Amino acid sequence: MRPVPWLGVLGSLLIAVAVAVAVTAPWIAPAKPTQLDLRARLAPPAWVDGGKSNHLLGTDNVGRDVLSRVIWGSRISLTVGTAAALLGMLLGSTLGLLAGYFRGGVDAVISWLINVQLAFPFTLLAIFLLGTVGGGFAAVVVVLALATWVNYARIVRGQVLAIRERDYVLAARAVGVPTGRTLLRYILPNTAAPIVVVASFSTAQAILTQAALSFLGVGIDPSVPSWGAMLDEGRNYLQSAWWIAVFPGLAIALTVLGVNLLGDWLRDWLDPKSAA
Amino acid sequence: MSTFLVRRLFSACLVLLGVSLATFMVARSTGDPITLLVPSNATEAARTELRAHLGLDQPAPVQYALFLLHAVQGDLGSSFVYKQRVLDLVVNRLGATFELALAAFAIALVLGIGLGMLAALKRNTVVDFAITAFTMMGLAIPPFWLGLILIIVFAVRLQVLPVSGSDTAAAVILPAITLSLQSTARLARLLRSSMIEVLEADYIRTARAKGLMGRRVLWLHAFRNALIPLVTMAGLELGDLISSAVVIEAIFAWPGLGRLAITAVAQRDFPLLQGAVLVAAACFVTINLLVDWLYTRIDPRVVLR
Amino acid sequence: MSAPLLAMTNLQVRFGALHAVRGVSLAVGAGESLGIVGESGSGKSATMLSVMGLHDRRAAWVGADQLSVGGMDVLSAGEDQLRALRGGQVGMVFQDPLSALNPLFTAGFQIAEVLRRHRDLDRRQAREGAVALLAQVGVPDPKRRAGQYPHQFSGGMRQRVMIATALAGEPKLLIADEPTTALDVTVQAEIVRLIQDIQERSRLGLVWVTHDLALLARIADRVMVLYAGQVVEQAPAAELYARPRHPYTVGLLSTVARLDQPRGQRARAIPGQPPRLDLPIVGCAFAPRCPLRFERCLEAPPLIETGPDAAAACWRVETPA
Repeated sequence: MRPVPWLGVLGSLLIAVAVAVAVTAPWIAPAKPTQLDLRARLAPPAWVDGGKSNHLLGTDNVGRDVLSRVIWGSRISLTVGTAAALLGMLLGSTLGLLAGYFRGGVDAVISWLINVQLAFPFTLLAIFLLGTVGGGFAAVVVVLALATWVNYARIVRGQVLAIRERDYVLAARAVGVPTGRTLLRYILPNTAAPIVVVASFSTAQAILTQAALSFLGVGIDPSVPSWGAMLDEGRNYLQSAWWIAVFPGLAIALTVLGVNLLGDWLRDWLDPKSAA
Repeated sequence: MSTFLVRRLFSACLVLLGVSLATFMVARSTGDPITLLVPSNATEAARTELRAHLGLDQPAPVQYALFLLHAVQGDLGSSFVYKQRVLDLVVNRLGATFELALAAFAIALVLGIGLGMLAALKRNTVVDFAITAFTMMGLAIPPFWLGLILIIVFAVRLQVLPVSGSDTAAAVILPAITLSLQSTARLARLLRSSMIEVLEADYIRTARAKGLMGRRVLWLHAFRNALIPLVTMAGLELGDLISSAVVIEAIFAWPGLGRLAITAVAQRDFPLLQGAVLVAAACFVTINLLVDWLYTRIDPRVVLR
Repeated sequence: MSAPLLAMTNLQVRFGALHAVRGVSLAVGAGESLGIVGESGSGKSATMLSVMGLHDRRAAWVGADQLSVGGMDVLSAGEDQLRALRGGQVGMVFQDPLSALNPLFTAGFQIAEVLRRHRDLDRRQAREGAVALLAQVGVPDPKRRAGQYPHQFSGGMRQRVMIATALAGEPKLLIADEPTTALDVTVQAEIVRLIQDIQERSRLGLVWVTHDLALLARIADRVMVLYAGQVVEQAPAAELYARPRHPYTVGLLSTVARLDQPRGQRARAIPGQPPRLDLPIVGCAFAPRCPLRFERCLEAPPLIETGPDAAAACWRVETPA
């Protein structure tokens, strides 16, 4: 009876394409992403006057193939986005679980941490941290996890506060089930649905923020092809060679759109009440 | 009211304490700023003297305590690079960031509320689908990328609006639109769903059964209820706008806090960076205090605790 | 009897494929009280919302041979006429006063806006009128209570506020849609008495919709039983309770807990489910659940007269088992 969730299907499709491209990058990319073609610098896309058939989406200022760089760049966006969302999930869900279950002092401290984190102007914090600690894949993932853990912590805390008063949890406690077991066996499974939804939106947030940081020149080593870094390189050629910045931007938008659509659909599917 | 205020102020101070502690620790854990401040051929004596002058010879907890003590007196130290008071530098730039963030906030509120209402009232029509498509795109497009495209179209090709800077009133238009995009989309989505929920509420049926005008039912009875979740969200959005302004300022050469911070990172000017982060956090905390207060004005069920 | 306040003949309400009300006819005059009883989904609320023209025109299709309130044709009325009807000619009390009152406005405000809308009072007069109405429905300390919000009232007091908003337009007809269902048992009796008092004093026409047949014994002059969007029985209240003719009414009466019966016989629910309303109903709608069904039930029974002002839609009226 449920209507086909076309938007959810579209989202899954977009994500599937992005993942497939990232996995098969070495085989489907027409050139190495770092390979210079100095005779074809700033070549426009193939369908534009002066375009070259071997550079479908044109080349950048040092003659690197834009299509190949967009293909390879998917790897950074997807891995960083997923890793940051997962690390944030681990951190945030744990803290939210503890705050909601133990309440009192534990809750006060964790809620304080949440408020402190929310009060940080995140972009400044990220620039600050990456500027002082230095960039690199791990550092970026950790910094982005700092942006997402709050989402999980808040929602899990709220869920647990509600669930811990339910009869089956009270019963488990009454018969002496150890605390750790109560948390893992009785409470955590019931928070899974909102966690999954938050995870999808956090992935989207992480992908966008990672690109913004690369664009600002902090974070991932700019010699590794990434969509954010390509935008940064392309901004100096906006007038003469729009294609350098436009295609990686489109790639980001489509990927994030896919993740958001999937998240919307998951939310409606897991909680029909919220479907509006 | 007064106990509510005291409690909220107390918790706001605790939050700021946390922010200051975190920034302090990060700044101090990254090595000796002295090496950046003196020429590499400076004598050890000169280094020691500078260290003492900046108070960097004290143990870290003492440094933090001194920093706090000065901070509450409005002294956030001096910039390593500019040799000026950090507070002056930051406040100087804060105005520009505020101008940008508030302009974006105004756009987001007007457009977000308008689109959200329209989508809710025209639910499941072409209008609704178009607005949903717009908001989905708004959430997916990287704002800085949109900024680049707007520059190409309006400033470079059409030459109707200034590319960068903040010299004219028109200069705020492109950066504000760019900055507002995500907030507009989020607010519109939120209002659409909360409005749809409210329109199905029993008290709306009651209002209609009382024979009230359609406009009164919609704007007084429905809209005010739908506004409640929006107010909470709008406070977070304004904080988020101030934070996101950092990136947008970089594109449009907008002389705000973000530009200052990016320069400070590049030059390892920790007192300045610390000050910028702290002031921005203070703004966020203040905004949220205001939102809490506003909340109690709109929803009588919220008890001031 | 003078021209009825509310006259309805062959009402039909459809929500897409869902045929919720299938030919209901009724009439209510001044000072009369009609009880409508049925399970959820029997079409009783949909029927009452049609009287006010409150169905969403995009979602619901409403038709009738006649549907008039105080002589005005509701189906052909424009939005302005309907607004004068709602809250003016007809007051409506809903089931759950906590959700039916707007949480963001004071009790006084919600009553006063009806006064301003229908009685043309200015702001100050309306405020005073709201306080007077609160006093009239038995809210103690009405002046102070008028400035309070719905969440500050108890359930019973909240329903009194709801009743005050329904009375504010000086209606001739009062529709009460399960007004006591959401309340504590002790409070229910007070609200019933309050509505009865008001009805008798002002000679209002009253339609009381409920799923609780026992309750209507005290309130209604006449009772109408709805099943699957159709009237299955109607009779003066005393007659209906003494001699129920339709097996469904018999079933409803036997589910009513009666203290004078031995424990084991109390509260027997009728087995089975009401029919799906998105499919056509062949024959008698109740037949699948009916203990007395026979061959003739494959054909839909009309309302068959069983006495003065009494009828039941059942072949067993003619062919007793």
